Amino acid sequence: MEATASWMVPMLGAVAVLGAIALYSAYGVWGRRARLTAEERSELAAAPMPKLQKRALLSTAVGLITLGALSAILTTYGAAEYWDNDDLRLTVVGIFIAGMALHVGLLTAMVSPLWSEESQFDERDRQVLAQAPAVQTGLVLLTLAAWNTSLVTRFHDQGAVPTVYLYLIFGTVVLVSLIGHSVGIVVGYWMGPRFGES
Amino acid sequence: MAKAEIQNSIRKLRFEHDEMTQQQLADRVGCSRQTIVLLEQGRYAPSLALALRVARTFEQSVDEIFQLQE
Repeated sequence: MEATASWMVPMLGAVAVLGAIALYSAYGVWGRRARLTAEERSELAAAPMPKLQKRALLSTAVGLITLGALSAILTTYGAAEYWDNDDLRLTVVGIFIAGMALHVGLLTAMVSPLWSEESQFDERDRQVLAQAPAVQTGLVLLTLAAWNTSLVTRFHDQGAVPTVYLYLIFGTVVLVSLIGHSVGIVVGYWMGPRFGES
Repeated sequence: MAKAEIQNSIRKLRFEHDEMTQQQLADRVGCSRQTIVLLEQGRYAPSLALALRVARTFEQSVDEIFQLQE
């Protein structure tokens, strides 16, 4: 018990620091959001969404549905069952690949105007797109921290983590990275009017 | 350094130019209608290129349309 407490102190400290960084970042984003009047907001809402914003919303939804479906299956059956049951593993891998393919397709459609001569992006779209990786990186780091903390806590006494978790870590990080990019774009438009401010 | 706000007379100029719609202006200067809305609200400071395209559309100089308020 004493040994457990000694390794948990730096672990919980690291989690507390990460949590504080995440909260501070979220507070910063909230503080820098656009403060539009009701009239300004309704005028903005009347204008059609840029294509990038529409596609980012759609790909966020696709990503979250995929992640939700996979989480529900794995929570219901457990990691050990996933590893031992071929049918279940094929189902999970199938959903993962289908979700990824759809998401990557949307992502490609989202950024492909960047390379066309008749670009459909204006300068605000490009600014939003350029800042999206900040959100993506943050979400990936938080995912890795969550995996790290939960696995160390769960398997510390055994001294080893089952191989299945390597696949699950890989899968979730890839999915969260893709979703994070789209979420970054959505957040960028939400904060949008501040971009380019002098 | 004090924060600067950029105001502009785009909305007034649109109406003076045959009541040009926001979408028409957006198409002419190559940006989305949302960007024009935010520009008119003074919530978005354009790049120099966009400011020059807006000025060319209304046949005025940039500093006649955009004013820096500190």
